[in-house]
Formats: sequence, structure tokens, C-alpha cells
Amino acid sequence: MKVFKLFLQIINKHKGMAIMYIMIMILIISIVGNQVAAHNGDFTMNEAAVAVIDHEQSEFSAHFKKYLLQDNHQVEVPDDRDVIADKFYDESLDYLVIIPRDFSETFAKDPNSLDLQTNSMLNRQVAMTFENKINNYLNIWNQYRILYDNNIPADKIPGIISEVDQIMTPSVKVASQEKQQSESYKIFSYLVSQINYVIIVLGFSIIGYSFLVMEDPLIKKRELVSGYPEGKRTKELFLAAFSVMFVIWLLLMTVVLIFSGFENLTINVSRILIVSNFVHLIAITALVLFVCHLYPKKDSSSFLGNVVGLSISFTTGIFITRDFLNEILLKISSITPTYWDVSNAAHVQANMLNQIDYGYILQNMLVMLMMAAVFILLTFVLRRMKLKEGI
Amino acid sequence: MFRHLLKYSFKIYFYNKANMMWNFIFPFVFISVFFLALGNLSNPTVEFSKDPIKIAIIDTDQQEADNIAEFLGNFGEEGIAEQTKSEETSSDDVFIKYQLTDVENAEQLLADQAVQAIVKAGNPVEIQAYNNLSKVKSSLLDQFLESYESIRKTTTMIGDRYADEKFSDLESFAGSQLSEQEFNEIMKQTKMDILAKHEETVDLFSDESESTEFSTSPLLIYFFACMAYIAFYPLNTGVSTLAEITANQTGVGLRNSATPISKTKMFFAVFIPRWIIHCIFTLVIYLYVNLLGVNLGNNYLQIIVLLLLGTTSAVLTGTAIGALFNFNTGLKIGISIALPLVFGFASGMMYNGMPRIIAQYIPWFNEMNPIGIISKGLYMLYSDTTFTRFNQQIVSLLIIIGIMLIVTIFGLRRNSYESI
Repeated sequence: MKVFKLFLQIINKHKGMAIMYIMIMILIISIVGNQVAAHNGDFTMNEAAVAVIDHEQSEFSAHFKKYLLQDNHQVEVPDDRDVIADKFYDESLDYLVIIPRDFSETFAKDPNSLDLQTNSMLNRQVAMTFENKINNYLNIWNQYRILYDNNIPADKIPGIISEVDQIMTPSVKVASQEKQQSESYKIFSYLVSQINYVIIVLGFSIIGYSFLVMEDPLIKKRELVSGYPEGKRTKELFLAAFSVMFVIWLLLMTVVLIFSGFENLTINVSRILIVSNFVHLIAITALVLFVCHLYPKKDSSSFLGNVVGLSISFTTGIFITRDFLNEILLKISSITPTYWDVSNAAHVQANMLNQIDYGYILQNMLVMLMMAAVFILLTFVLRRMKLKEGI
Repeated sequence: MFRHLLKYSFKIYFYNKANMMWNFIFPFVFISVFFLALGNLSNPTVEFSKDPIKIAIIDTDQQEADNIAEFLGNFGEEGIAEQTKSEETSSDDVFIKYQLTDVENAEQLLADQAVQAIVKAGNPVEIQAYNNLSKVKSSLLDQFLESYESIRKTTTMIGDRYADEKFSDLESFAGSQLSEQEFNEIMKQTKMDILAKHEETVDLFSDESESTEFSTSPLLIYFFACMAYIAFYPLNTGVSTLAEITANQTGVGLRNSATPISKTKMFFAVFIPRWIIHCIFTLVIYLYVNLLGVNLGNNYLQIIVLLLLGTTSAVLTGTAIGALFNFNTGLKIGISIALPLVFGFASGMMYNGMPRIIAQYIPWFNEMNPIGIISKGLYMLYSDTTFTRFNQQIVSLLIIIGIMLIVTIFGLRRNSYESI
């Protein structure tokens, strides 16, 4: 196991870089994991930073304010244009609503003439969400306005507020059978696809680099001259590369389980996803080794990790949901193992537990295994060719 | 002598194929992939209408099923006839296709993947089963159904309230006999009031439904961060600049240190050509982004100044890392690649909600994140009519540049004394 140990020694020698990359990637996964877990599986801006300035201070306006702030993060701002603009540009504020002094009075006369000042600078989608929210809310109150001939009696307002709260409470039921575990296994399936990016980057930056150091002609020749058989050397190198990747993967999987819950280890579909992700790990390690033989420049391994990691992640739907991805690009990305593993995670996210097609998941795992076999085979061919050329 | 060094530094940099590949071709490839991958984000509504959500509606009560079908008709159409994505629907407003059917047929449709969900019309509405329903589509379906539910609940509550108001004097009402005609009259009046909802709809934003100059699409927000990342990408060039003039880092560094030229002069001779080349690279990429049809704004001069300062800050941050730390070049290069990645992540290049999360929990990080500063600067140029805030971003970048330059010079001087 001389070569195996040497490989680990090289990683140990460059542990500074390895630790740095692993810590950065764990930090990224932790931030994403924390947000996803907080929002039940969505990494969208479910929680927006909202400021509501209430100039009327009535029961009606207070309830409107409470409704707008519900499930969002409240930001306190004075009614000062410059301060508000600064908050928007600091990216600490997503949406602002200024309720005028004559809010109730104008609403009673003509709701469509309400001078409700709103502002959203960052993202049109956030603005649209809040515009719908505001319109829905005012439309409900408008029914009460109509009922009371444009003049809601003051004593009726507390009762109406209670009814509006009931109306606005989400009531659509989602199939009861999957309710119990939805938050857990769906969060897990999302996060497990996110670690693929990390695996690719770390694969090239740590394994690729160390492998290329080992393949340095001076080191390689020294070992071969000392009588170490090439076949045994190759096997140990590959074993060492896979072992190190496995340890990194275990670390990342632990982080994912911390955020998604360890009960996932008892859910069948989560277990299958773990196996799928492990198969992906094997395929990516094989890909890293293959690319390192094609382009054996050790100083470029970090660049390669960066390029390949970002490109694969953007094209396979790790960073952006596949609903918005360019279809042709998505099809092209199917030449990478990551596409198939992300497909498995996406399939789990898009289906109820009893609708999950395990055959589909196994088929995708088989594709990844075949890819791994092809990469390993090609790597052996390249090694054989290089050996014949005396490199 | 200095001119001679400058000339050769230019040549050396261009002859190095790896430099060309990673520093020039990678940004092009990255921008192209980024553009192609996110192209559909520019108009997500059109994307939805290409592939609408297909649902089967089953009922416990025919009236409920008809009501929900009528409501969903505002966002789509009846019929789930097979239509390939390439054929597309005729209208851009068809977000949903539905079919009223019985339980057995609905289950069969779901099993055949002809529909993506079975919705049971009842009180309340229930998504009974779903299959192959992506997260985006499921949240859209949920929104439609919640809207329907709120209208239904409003109708019920207003109806109840109306009846309460009408028969507030329950004792006298109990004594009276309500004729069928009176009852029908009450119900008719209730329905009229409920119908008034559709006639008197409140829409405060009807004039603002189109994007204004102050609004930005998610694609553009991603692109601000991506462009900022590309501008800050040449951090590694700064690191390699220092490696080539520091004796204990590379063979070239050792050779250069042995020459009778001051380290500061040698530094500028190697730094200036690389800085110029990367500034030109950044401008070429900005031009390419414009050619792709992504308009980052019309303040071209200010954008160029911002990007060039971003690239300058990147190269100087690299030289500062190279001058300050004595560990091996490989680790420094690793840092120079990881740092823009972290800054890019924090600026929303991978998830566009990230800057707000950072602003909420670690606001100081946004202040010192060069990619965030460039990205914010681009955003301000796009949406702010004044240059006051943009100028603040320029000042922030100049401060970073100043600090990094001082650190680099300080680091170089320290190394000089060490070599004595």
C-alpha cells in the first residue's frame, strides 16, 4: 500500500488547501441548508424583507400591516426617501408599503383611488407577489364595504378582522398521506443535489491535484524503477482517490442530514437517494481521473474544478430549477453523471411518496454506473498509451 | 530598462497558453453557459404557458366542481389534449389545463402522466394526488387554488353575515313564517352582492403591471452578479505576478530576484502588462454580454469605469495575498479561485436571494465584498437616476484598491529586507 499511503501524504502536505475548500463548501451547503430547512424545502424568497409605514394607525391599517408582515422579515424604516433608498440598495429591504393617513376614509369612498405608496427595487417578481397580496386583501375588505353600503360600522371591524384572518389562512389540503414526511425528505432531496456541485469542485481541486502530483514523471518513474508494478500502482492510486472522495462525501452527507433531519435514514426514498448520490460520487471521481489524464496540468486543477463545477451546476439544474433551464442545454448536460443524479432528486421532489418510480431512479443510477465504467476504461486506455510512449 | 521589462512581460503572458485558456476563454464559456442556461428566466410567464399545469378535477359536489372549473378558466382552459412542448399553446395566458372527470378516470390519467395532479373539488379543495409536478408548478397550482378558496370563503362569510344582518331580530324572525318567495329574494340579493365582487374588483397596480425602468428581471440580477464575478475573476493573476518576482516562490522569481533591479520596479513591470490585459479582457466580455442582448444599462462610461476598477481591485487583492502570505503558490492560487467563488455566492450569482440573507445576518460582509460592490454598482446604474450611491460604490472600490496596493508594497518591502 505504498502508493496509497503516498497519495494520502500528498493530500496531507496540501491539507491547507483541502481544508480551505472543504470549509468553504461546507459553509455554502450550511447556508443553503439552513435557508431551505427554514422554508420547508424552498430556496426562494418566501421570506421577504418588508417595511410598512402606517400613517393612519387605525384597526384596519394595523391589520393590513400585520397581514403584509406575516411570514416576512420586518424592517423598520423612517418615512425618509433617502434612508429608504439606501435600504433598498443595501439589499436589506425588498418591499415597502406606506399606508396614508386617509386610508380607511379613501377605502370607504373608492378603494381603487387609494394612494398606497409601494416600492420594490430589487426584483420585479417580489413586487408582483406583493401586488397580488395587497389586491387580494383589499378585494376581501371590499366585499364587506359593499355589504355595509360603503360604510363599515366601527363596531363591526373586530369581527370582520377575525373573518378576514380566517379567509386568508391557507386551506388547500395536500394529500394527507405524504404530509407527515414531506418537509423532511423533500428538503433532503434538494440538499443532496446541491452537494453535487461541491463534490465536483473538491474532486478536481483536491483529488485531481494530488493525483497529478503523483503522476509527475519524476515520482512515477522513481516508483516504477523501484520495482513497483504499474498495475498495482494504478489500482492503489484509484483506490486512494475513491477513498478520499468517500470521506469528503460522508462529511457532506452528515451536513445535509443535520439540516434535513437524521430521520431521513429511515425513509426509503431518502436511502435510495443516498445510494444514487454515492453512485454519482463514483462517476464524478472517475470523470476527475479521466480529465486529469486528458489535461495533466496540476496547476490548472483548481481552475478546472471551478469551470466544470459551475458549468455543470448551471446546466443540470443544481442552482436554477429545471423549469427555467434551456431545454437544449439541459439535454446536452445529460452527458454528465450529475444530470442523472439531479434528475433523481428532482423526481423525488416532484412526486408523492407513493408515486415515486423506483425503476426510473435505478435506471438513472445504472446510467451513472455505465458512465463511471466508461470513464475508468478510457482512463486505463490513456494510461496504457502513455506508458507505451514512455511518459 | 523598464520599457524592456514591460514588453517582455506582455510577451510572456501571451505565450502562456494556460493563462489564455483560464483567464480569457473560461469567462467567455462561463458567460455563454450562464446566458443559455438562464435565458428562459427573462420571461418565465411565457415558459409556463408553453407547458401548462395539467390537472384532473374530481367532485364530491357537482356545483363545487363547476365553480372551480369556472375559476380556473380565468387562467387556462378546459381539456388536457396531448400537445407537445414544441407545438406550444396558442395563448400566452394558458397556465393551467383541466378536465372534469370521475375518480377512476382521474387516477388513470395520473398513472398515464396525462395529468400532473388530481384536485378534489370540495370544502376545502384538496390536491389529492400529484405526479411529476415540479416545485414551481406545485406552488403556482397552490396559489390558484388558494385564491379560489379565499373567494369561496369570502362568499360564505359575506353570505352568513348578510343573513345575520337581515335577520338580526331573531326572536321576531322565529315567530314569523318565511315564505319561499321571501327566501328566494334574500338568496338572490346575496348572490348579487357576491357577484359585485367581480364587477368592483380592486386593482391598485393595474397601471404598473408592465415592468418599469426601476424594475429588474431575475435574469438581470443574476447577470449583475455574474458580470461582477468575471470582473473580479483575475485574482489569480495578482498572485502569479508576485510569485514571479519573489525568490522563495518560483524558479522565475528566484531568477528575477537575482537581477540588479529593485523589487518595486520589477513588480510594476510584471503587474502593469497583466493589469492592462485583464482590463481589456473585461471590456471585451462586457461587449460580448451586450452582443448577447443583455442590456446592463445605458450608462456605458460608468459601467466601464466600475468594471475596470473591479478588475484592478481583483489583481491588487491577488498581489496583496501573494505579498502578505509566505505559504506555497499552489495554496495561494487555490485561495485566489475560492475567494471570487465565495464573494460571487454571497452576491447572488448562484441564488439570487443570498445578498438579502447576508445583509440580514452579516451586513459588514456586504460592505467589504468587492463582487457585491460591483454588482450593486451595476444595479444602481441601472435603476438609480442619480449617481450619488453609485459614486459611493466607486469610493468603496477605490478604498479596497488603495488598501491592497499599500499591503502589496508593504509586503514587497518586507521581503526585500528579508533577502538582505
